[in-house]
Amino acid sequence: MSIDMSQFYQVFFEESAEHLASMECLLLGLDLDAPDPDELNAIFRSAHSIKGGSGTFGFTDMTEVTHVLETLLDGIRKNEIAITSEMVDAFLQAGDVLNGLLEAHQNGTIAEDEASKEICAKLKALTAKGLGRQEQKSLENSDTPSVLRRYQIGFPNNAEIFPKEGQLQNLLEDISNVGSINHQEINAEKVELDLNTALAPDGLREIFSFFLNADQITLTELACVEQKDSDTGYGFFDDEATSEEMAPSQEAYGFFIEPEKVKADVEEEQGFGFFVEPEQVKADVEHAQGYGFFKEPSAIDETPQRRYTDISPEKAQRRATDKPAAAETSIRVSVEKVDQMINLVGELVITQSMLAEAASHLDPVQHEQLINGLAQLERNTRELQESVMSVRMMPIDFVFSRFPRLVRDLAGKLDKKVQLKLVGEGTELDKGLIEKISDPLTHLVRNSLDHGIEMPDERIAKGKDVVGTITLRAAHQGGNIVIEVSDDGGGLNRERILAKAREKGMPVLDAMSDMEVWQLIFAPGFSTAAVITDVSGRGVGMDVVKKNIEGIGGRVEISSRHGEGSTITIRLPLTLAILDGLSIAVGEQTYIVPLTFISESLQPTEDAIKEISGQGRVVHVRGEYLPVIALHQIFNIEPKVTNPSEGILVLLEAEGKKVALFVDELVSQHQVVIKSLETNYRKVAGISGATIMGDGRVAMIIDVTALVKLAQR
Amino acid sequence: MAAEEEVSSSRELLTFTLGREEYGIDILKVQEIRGYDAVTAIANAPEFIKGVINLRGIIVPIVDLRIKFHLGRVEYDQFTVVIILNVVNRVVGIVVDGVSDVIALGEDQMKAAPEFSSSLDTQYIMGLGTVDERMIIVMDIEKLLSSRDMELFDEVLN
Repeated sequence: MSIDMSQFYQVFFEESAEHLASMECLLLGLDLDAPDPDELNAIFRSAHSIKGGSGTFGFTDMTEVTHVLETLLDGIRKNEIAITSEMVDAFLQAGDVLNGLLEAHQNGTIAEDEASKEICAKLKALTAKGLGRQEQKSLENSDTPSVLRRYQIGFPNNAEIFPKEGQLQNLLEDISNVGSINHQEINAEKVELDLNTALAPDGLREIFSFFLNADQITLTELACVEQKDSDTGYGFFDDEATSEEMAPSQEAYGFFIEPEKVKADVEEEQGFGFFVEPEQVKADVEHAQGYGFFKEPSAIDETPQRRYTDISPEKAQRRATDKPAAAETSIRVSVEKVDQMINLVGELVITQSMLAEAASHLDPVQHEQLINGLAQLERNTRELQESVMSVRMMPIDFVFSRFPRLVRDLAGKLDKKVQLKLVGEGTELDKGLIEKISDPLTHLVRNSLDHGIEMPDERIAKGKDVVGTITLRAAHQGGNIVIEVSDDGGGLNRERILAKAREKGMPVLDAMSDMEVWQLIFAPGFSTAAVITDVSGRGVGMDVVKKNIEGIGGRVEISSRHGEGSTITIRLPLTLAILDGLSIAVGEQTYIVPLTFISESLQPTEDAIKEISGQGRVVHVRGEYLPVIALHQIFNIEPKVTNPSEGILVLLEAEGKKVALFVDELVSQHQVVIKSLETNYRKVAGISGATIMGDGRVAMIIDVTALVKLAQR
Repeated sequence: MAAEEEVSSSRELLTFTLGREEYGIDILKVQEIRGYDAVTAIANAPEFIKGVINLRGIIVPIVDLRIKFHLGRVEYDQFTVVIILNVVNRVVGIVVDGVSDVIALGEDQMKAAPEFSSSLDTQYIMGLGTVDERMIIVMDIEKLLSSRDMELFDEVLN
């Protein structure tokens, strides 16, 4: 009997994705100077689990990548290799590659193996390099016998090869840097050297290749010389000592990767051509020797490393304080099952309120038991509803956790110094919201980083901390979730926004309040960025952010002080399934208006209503004229009252426009469960959904945004 | 095989009356039958779409076929019946004058519909059946409800 493995694929995909996420999170939180062994082990375990899983399911490409990854991680966790930021970069890159492979397998497509080959090579190089350096370190403290090679070298000496004076001298100096010249014979025609060095013949030839063709030199290896090294306090480039030093590592570890090859890799990475100038040749030779080789890349890495540590201490601290419990028990349940449960509980709540309403007509004395029972039912259903709802709740950390990486990468790209603060990552919100909030948030963080935070020198000039801070904060506030993205950058520039708005032909006034000015940036195609970067500035975005947030029943607010930074606040309902609404009546019908759009309700006086050329009506509210939209006209229903002064005006605000909705009366405020009208019917203009009221009847939920648009036509 | 053939050669129909005509629809499409009650109107919907009801938590649109087919007087009383149907993965209710029976109609009792002018477009008529001297118009209710002129769904299948 064969087992169909594909049924387990989904589990593997999910688990691997989680492992990758936790690996990335741990990597970003890692303190390079003093890596926590527990964290290193956890990273190793994650990689190992993915390797094991992918091996089992036959995803060999993933196994290959994780294998090299694991080798290097294993070295680090066993303290054989010291971790560098270059390695962390490579690990993160490997994580990306693995994610790509995982996705490809999930979609049943074949991933390009270019990326995985590249990362494998990189990781292998790092492993070899890491082991080499470690060896170097241990050598510094011990007297180990080393192996030297002795060469007899001969090459011609003429003006064609060394056209300038001193060039021969340079070459000899280069040679003496890699080994010791025991004997040299120079005349007008040729040069003969007797050299002791740790270099292999190929390495040696490279030194000469700048001046000489390979066929012009004669190179004879005489013997391997064993030497006892007794001097520990030498300089690295002291000829003899250096050569002795390198020799064992070459003997013992050379099987990993030929030093020349490693060197070549590094050169490629660094982007220089071979042997650009004599000094370069020299440097390369030093590299090949084993020591200088490491110095160069790490110097290049210095900047990212510093950037990196900008984030890490804080993060590491956080990790240390709220480390998740090791043995958290959980079960994996499909979202559909949970949703079905939520639906059923919703039904139960409706049934319960129907019963309660029916019972309210009964004589309390006669039916005491029934009424008591119903009261208990109400309590239980409410608790049940809450706990079922909480199943769908997830900590916002699921979104926040992607930002340390994003900020790190972006800051690197933009050459800015930025630290990211996360506050309230434990705040829970509905899974559906989590998915929908992540794109707008990403956009806001990118914006803050690109436009908000200034370049380091600019910050210094302004007397600010060189390192900019972006804070992501989440908290519960009443029945809402409030998410803030704030930065301590330059803030929004009022003049520039106004100028840009005028340029675009938008109706603006100098007297506009800051709030109104900030709202302008939500207009489609609006960007004040002087330069369009690949990060942001194309002006697509803020309007989309706003649309997305409003699409899930939220609001976006901006506050900003020039020179001090800006804060963008997003207010969201706790869940997508429940809405706070005001029920209103028009004729025989009841409608629900989402509370988030309502600013106030009022009964206008007769003279506050003005007719405009017999076309429409406006209402005068505190100096503002708002268009009056009669709901009965839009929905074609017979109203009880046709004069606004006898009914109620509900002032609505959507997409920056204010309107007054004329209805017969207000009924009450409810929390309603949103039902889709489109499941069995189609989309209705002006209606966003339906709900079931306490009496079991259906009430339509008004789509305020659409209504405002509808009224404009 | 024999059993299968028997099933295909005779079909079970739910018959109902609309005005003076008797219609039959595939019983397998019928979910339940209930009274007409508590319909919430939908703004700007065509006249024959009466609105939606709450069917145990599901929002179900209600279509009055009598209005759609212009069949004389339309009254809503305690005898008005709503047939809840399951068509193209949707739940829809239709209002009819009354439900008569469930009948089995063999292939031999079915005649192709002639080209005649009726309130119901012939493309929605699968055939005419005769049971005890009664003529039953067998309706393709799925095709009818998902058609464009019913305005029930956003995307019209086929």
